[in-house]
Amino acid sequence: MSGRADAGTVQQARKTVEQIKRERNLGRTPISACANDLIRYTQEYQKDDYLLTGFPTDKLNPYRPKNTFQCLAL
Amino acid sequence: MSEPDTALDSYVEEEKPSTSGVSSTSATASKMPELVTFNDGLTRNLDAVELLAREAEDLRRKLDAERLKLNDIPIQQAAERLEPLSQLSIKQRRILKGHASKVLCMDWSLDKRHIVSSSQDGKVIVWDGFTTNKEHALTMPTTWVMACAYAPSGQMIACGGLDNKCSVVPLSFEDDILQKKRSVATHTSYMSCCTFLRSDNLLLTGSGDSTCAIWDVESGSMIQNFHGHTGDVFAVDIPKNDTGNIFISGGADRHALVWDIRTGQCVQSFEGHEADINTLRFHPNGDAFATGSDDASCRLYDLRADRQVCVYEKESILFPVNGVDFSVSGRILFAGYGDYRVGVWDSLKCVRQLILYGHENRISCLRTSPDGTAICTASWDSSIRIWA
Repeated sequence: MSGRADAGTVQQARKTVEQIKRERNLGRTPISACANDLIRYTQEYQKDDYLLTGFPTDKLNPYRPKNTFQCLAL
Repeated sequence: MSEPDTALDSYVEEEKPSTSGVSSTSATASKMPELVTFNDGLTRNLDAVELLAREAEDLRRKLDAERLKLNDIPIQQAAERLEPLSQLSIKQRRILKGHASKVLCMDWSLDKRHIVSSSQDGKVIVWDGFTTNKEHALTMPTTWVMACAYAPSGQMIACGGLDNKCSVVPLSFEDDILQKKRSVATHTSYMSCCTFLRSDNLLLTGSGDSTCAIWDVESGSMIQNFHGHTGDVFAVDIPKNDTGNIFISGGADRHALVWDIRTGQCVQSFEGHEADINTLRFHPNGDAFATGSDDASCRLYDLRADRQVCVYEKESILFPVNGVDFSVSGRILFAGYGDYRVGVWDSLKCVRQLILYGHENRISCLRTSPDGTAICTASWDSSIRIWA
């Protein structure tokens, strides 16, 4: 606790208390519900997740190793 | 639903009419008559501060107890019914070489192929990720360009760092685009992170001066600032579905804070990390986020549960995490470590699936491409690598 106790410090301490009160007043859901939401989201978007499932053929991967192209100028 | 004001208010400010009387929930209230004296304004204030501090501590303890109750089952248990991840076929596909010193930050363009990167020696380069060509290169008048961002339109980039500013540069194929550089944000210490918010005209920055701020790009004026961190801010992020009114920030005070953009207020705060939070990223669903820290762990926090959900750590992992991002479905969490490796985690089962090797120095930044086809990592080895 700092030695300087003026109206500013009181104001600061009051703000801290109000902040915590605000945080306490939030509605909260248990982890089980949140975990299930995360799981459901994953299952819904799994098919769009190419890092997860890979590409059906390598040609669709925009970062596939490129074949070098050579031609002769005649 | 809110608690009745404690009678503390009626002691500290005599002008205020006494409120509903001593609250039964506050243990300190019953002790008040003995402690507060009216002899001297200073004594009164000192006691008020102490009483408020005690009330704050009491409330915090209650808050922690409520959060503890929510941990009914660990997420790993809920995820048991899921199939374990099959073999992931992620490999290094591109190396972008061109920086001459540590690359500190990178960002993807929404066109999913262009990348902007910034480095310690002041160079900012715009690359085409598919071809590895450099499309633009500019030299900033400052070293340690710690942050860079691509505007949603793809026509502009933002960058800054040790100059305490964030400047925007419109991209064009004219000779010297640096001429058009404009400074937008100004902080009182280094700028550590930046991102465009919803459009090319709003810029969100975080700084070593422990504040975040939103700026109007056209006028360069500050629209809102956010005070609350008690240490340097190292990272900010906005939800992928950028329609909400919140953003998150994390930093040296080991807390991650959730802010309301309209009011500038901190709406939620999360703790748990044992050292600086270096990076944080929203889960694609917008209701959770992951953080990476100097304590070598990543953590998942959920906004609706208002608490930490799980920790991604292993005894064998000792190096700081400097970049995290999710895959498109959120199932995979990528983490870039100071031991030069990328850890690929199953975010739901909380196990590490894969390690990606390649970089030759610590990883400073990691981001998934906008369509989720690749991740990009930037490193102190002056290279940028794309993995897909």
